[in-house]
Amino acid sequence: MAYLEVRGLRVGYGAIPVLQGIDFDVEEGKTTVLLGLNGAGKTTTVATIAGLLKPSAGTITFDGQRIEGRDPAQLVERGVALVPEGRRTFPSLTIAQNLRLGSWTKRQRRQELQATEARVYEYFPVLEERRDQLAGTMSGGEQQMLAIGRAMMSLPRLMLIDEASLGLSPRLAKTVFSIVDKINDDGVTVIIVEQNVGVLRHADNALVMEKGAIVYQGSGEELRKGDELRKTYLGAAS
Amino acid sequence: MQGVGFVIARPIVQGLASGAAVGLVAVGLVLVYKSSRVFNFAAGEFVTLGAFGTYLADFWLPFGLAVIVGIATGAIAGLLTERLVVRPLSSRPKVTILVATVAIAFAIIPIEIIRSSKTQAFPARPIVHGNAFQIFRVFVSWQQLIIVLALVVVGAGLAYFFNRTDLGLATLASSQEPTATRLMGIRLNRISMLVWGMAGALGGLAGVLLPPLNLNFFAGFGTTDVLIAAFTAAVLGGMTSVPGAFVGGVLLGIVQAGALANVNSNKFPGAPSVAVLAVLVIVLVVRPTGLLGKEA
Ligand SMILES: Nc1ncnc2c1ncn2[C@@H]1O[C@H](COP(=O)(O)OP(=O)(O)OP(=O)(O)O)[C@@H](O)[C@H]1O
Ligand SMILES: [Mg+2]
Repeated sequence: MAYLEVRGLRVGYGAIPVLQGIDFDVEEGKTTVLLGLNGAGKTTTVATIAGLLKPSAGTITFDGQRIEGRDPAQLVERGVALVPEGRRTFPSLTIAQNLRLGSWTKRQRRQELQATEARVYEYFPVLEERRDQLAGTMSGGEQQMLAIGRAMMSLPRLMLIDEASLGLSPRLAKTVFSIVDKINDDGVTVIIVEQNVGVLRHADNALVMEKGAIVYQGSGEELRKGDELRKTYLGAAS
Repeated sequence: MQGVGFVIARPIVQGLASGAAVGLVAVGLVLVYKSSRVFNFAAGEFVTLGAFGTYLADFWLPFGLAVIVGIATGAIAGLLTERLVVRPLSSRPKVTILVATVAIAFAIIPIEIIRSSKTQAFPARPIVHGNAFQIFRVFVSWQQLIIVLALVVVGAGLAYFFNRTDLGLATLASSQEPTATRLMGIRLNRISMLVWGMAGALGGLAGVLLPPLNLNFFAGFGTTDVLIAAFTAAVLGGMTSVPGAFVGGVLLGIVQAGALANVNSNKFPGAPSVAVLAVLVIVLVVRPTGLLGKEA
């Protein structure tokens, strides 16, 4: 049984169906990239896994337990963290306070949190330099780092990152991806939503979505090297 | 002939005290507005219920406990409002919730009147009788002093809560980014209960502290005498700023007391209310974002 198993998942907004019964697996300890054009349903997929949306049908099994339809509070506690589309840091709180809130469900685990905080500052030194600065006054790239750091503070086992590279310079995007590699090396299973095919270098596995369906599921390497595959699933532009 | 010191000091002393109590209510309005984006028109009755709670409990309990009952009555009113009215309507337009809070006030006031009569004045006991000291020949009563102290203590407590505690941070976070707050594992419903409970307790506290300044209170006085002033104070402070609401409350109290002291009330009754509205209009025209008009 895979670490995360999604089966027959249907999700919509009101009466509008978006996910049409999707199936996929994510392996423990791996990085899986979820690719797809605008409106394909990537955000809907990860938001549902994180508990922000309730599916109308289907199951999500995480580490052997059914989690679909549970609320985010329970899921964070169990180790599912979402870095949401658009970062959504708390603008009028400082960086240190943003990180502190990331650890909300794990407040009792002081020692682990201390170690994790040190790791966040090691990965993102700019956050330590600016720890007393308000998040709202930081650049988009810095806020992305903060959003990832904040998710790290929940001591996740599965981290979902929605559009990490959006609006970042190619260089900064590379830096962020390499830190995602480190987070993965620390033992966190990662699902990263992207439109930037460059991310494939950092991925073990890849999923491609189109119009609310999974149209490719396989190794990231294969998708990266196979020109045919890439053209078919991601269009000529990539 | 009274000295200049007296003429200036008297409205300041009186205004500080009544304005501080208004400030407590204004802070409750701000907390609720930041958290739910709702203008809470039931806030005035949290005040009246606080006054009634203390008045009734005083028959049975030592006065110190009766004071706590008054504050708790306000808190319970706030919690019930959240649970029974605001939460069930949470997916509706904000104006629906606003109207529902008006309905709460209009439902509570007749109940209070049934228990009394429209004009019956209920005696209100100060926490400590008598005067504390004199400044520029103006007597400062213990009650006035206690109200100002209460405002200082509440202000310090809220500052500590919002800056130093996890729950306080979570409350601020929920008003800035509700979705991200949920993703932290924080339950928005609980934060909402907490905020309404705090707003209710602040109203109840004002209901305990304010009536003794006039020696009595009436059914519905929180809505008729306090609510508009508290809203004006909150707007003056920027509607989303807790310190702004405190400052707004105190400034407004002083303006009201000044109007009361300097305008002949036989020729021109209701001067303090007119002064409140004048301040409201001036703020909305000159500086609609308020004195400290930013999220804080
Ligand atoms: N709140 C909403 N209400 C109604 N429809 C929505 C809502 N959010 C998304 N949709 C629709 O669901 C579909 C999938 O959206 P989703 O945000 O999951 O796509 P995405 O793959 O993340 O796209 P992008 O790359 O642009 O972020 C789109 O057609 C979108 O219009
Ligand atoms: Mg998206």
